[in-house]
Amino acid sequence: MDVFLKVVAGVLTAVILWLCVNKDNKGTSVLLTLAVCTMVISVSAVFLRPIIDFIYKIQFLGDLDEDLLAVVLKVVGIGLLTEISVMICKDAGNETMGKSLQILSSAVVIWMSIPVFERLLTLLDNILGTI
Amino acid sequence: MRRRGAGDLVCLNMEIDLIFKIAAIGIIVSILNQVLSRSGREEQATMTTLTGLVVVLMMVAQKIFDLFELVKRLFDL
Repeated sequence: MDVFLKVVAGVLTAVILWLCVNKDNKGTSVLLTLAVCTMVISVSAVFLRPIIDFIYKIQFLGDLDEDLLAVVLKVVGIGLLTEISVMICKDAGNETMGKSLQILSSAVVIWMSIPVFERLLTLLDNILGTI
Repeated sequence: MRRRGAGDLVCLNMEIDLIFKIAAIGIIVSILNQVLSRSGREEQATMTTLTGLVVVLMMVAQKIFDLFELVKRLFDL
């Protein structure tokens, strides 16, 4: 919990510094936002790792397909990066770039999900074939 | 069961000093920018701003690279 409190204090400090810098130097303020977000996510990763390991444990115990779970986790990772990047673009006043990044990430997620959909179609085909 | 390597995620410290450095550079650059602008040296003010941006970008670039590597390893991208 010490880590969490330190991160909260750090982010609040960074926000105040951002207010000082943003008035005259918007470029540096965007980079400051980027640096803070990068650090917070890096700290979050330490707590996310055991969660992901637990998910893999459940997958092993439930005898689920590892490939499908890997796709889901990759989609989560892409979503995380995209969300942060889009918000930073919005803060910098350039929503257009953020939207184009969203379109790209949506396309990548759908592309990565194609094997899952193919598996589903095969399953439906098998089920409907036996009816 | 999928096994993950140990010791590849160690970042429990939020580097506050980097945040203060970036903020300090931003404040110094904006002060220099104002001083140079008011003394009629617009080009030098612009160059100072650009230099400050590049310096901060170089400081942040490594962190961004580390973040991407971290997310790649965490979510197996």
